Amino acid sequence: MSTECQDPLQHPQVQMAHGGQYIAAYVFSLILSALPLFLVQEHGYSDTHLLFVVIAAAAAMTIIQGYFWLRLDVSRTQAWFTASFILFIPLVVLTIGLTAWMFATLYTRTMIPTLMHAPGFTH
Amino acid sequence: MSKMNDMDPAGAVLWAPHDAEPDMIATRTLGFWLYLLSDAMIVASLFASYLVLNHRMNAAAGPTAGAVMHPLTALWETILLLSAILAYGLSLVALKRKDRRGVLAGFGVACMLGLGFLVMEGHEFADLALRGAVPERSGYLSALYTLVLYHAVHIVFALLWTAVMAVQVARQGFTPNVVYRLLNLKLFWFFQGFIWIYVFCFVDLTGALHVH
Repeated sequence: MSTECQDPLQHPQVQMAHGGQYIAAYVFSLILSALPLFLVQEHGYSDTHLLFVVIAAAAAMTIIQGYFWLRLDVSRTQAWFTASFILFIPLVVLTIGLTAWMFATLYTRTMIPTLMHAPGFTH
Repeated sequence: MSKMNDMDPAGAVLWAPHDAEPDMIATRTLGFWLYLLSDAMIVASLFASYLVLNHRMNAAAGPTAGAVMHPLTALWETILLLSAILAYGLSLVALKRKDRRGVLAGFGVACMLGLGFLVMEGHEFADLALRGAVPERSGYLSALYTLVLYHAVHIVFALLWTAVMAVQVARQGFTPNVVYRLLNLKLFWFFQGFIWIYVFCFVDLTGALHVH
């Protein structure tokens, strides 16, 4: 599929720009940012529940922006963008997850408990 | 019999003489996308260090996340940044229509909103620093400044790149080289939105919570 000699504006990656989809992702992202913020400010739920709400909002925004903004789908022009992104997800999960796990056990075993509950260290 | 002729080394055609040319635009945008993903690995390691250092021991009796985070300010920053990204996206819709003035107008709006985002974030962090919450105060603050300012530096480069592309669009028009750069810049802007929602959710919003 040669595009060198053709009009570059006919390239599928130019032609896939879609105003309606861009605006839809924008509106959904704003709603999904404002909603958890409202719930966090209200303090009506337990912090653990709110953490799950925040994680769910981030995951939903990832899917919405990934699909409508970055067009991560399985079409012929976009399949490799999607494939590389999906292969990238385990790298992020391992980087953050293993670090968090390692330090969580390290903290519980090495930090002096009396210091951790000292009055100066209120969270 | 004709099958036998095809097998004859003298007459065999091993590849199509007019093979498809590599698609220059698709090759370069995919290459840039892979770069963005590797850049995001740095962001992932910054998030990992933020997660580890967001602990009362690492606050060294200084401010913790609950004291320095203002989620409402962060929502305004989110609105400014996502609007800037939308403006850039809509300028690429104008590109599809070959509308040079529409593209330049979208760039202008994106740059103004992106600048507004940077001013607001700069104000927020200058305020923190004036109240003594400087990066060297504690491990927690070092991690916070590094993560948030790493994203801000990307927005600075997005603005500079957009300004350069505005000049190239005005002077060269929509040549193949200009078009692939516009597509790469689209990936860059959209990806900063991706990273910002994680900063917003896991730094600003969880900062107001009392969980580790």
